[in-house]
Amino acid sequence: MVSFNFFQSFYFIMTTISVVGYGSSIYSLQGKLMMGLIIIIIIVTIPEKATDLVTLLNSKSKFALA
Amino acid sequence: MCKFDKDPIWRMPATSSGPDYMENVYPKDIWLIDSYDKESNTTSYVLPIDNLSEHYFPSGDCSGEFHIYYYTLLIMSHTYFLTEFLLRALSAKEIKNFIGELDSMIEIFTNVPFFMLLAIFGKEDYYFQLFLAFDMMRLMLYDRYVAHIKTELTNGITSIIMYLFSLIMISSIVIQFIEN
Repeated sequence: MVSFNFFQSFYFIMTTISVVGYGSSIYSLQGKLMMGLIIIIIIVTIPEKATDLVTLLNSKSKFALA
Repeated sequence: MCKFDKDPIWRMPATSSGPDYMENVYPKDIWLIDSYDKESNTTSYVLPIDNLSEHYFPSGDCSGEFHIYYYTLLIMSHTYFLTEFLLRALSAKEIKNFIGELDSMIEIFTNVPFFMLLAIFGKEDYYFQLFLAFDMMRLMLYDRYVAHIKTELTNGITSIIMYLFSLIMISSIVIQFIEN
């Protein structure tokens, strides 16, 4: 059985979130389905959070950052 | 490594040889086994399969000495969370709105099925163990704690960092469990 411990899984998710990939893959069908769901969640929510952050940063004067 | 679970569902028995090796080593009731068989019959990689279980999970590691405490603590903590949620729901101004919130959904999803699955399937069932992996969803309740940060910018940045951390941790644990 392919060993997939927590740190490998963590690294895999990090490379996926950062859209780097590095060619790593998961092997089971269930894992692939779950990964598809996670990617959809990432695609929807990460840009939203990034927009929130930019809006928040722009809403403050550079002299009033605290 | 697995001191909290004496016989984890993903652990293969430490059998290295024998005529009925295939029957002993693979738990037949796990649906991942098909994909394992498919992959192991290819030439894409070579693993010391005969010694795999002994190599990764030696008996000394899998002693399960905290086995009872782990599940006792799980039951106690989930009882506390459920009681707290019920009290907050009863004291809410409008229960319908309160239950419709994301936080309440997470509370319900992580607490109610816990007792149902534990009672119906037992603690060593695959689906119960998978459900425990989803317990990490409670990290998404970070809003309660971040709300105490009054500075708007710090609040926003902390919230985003916590969200990313939650997403990465939840995804990692669920994928790790499914792959094993």
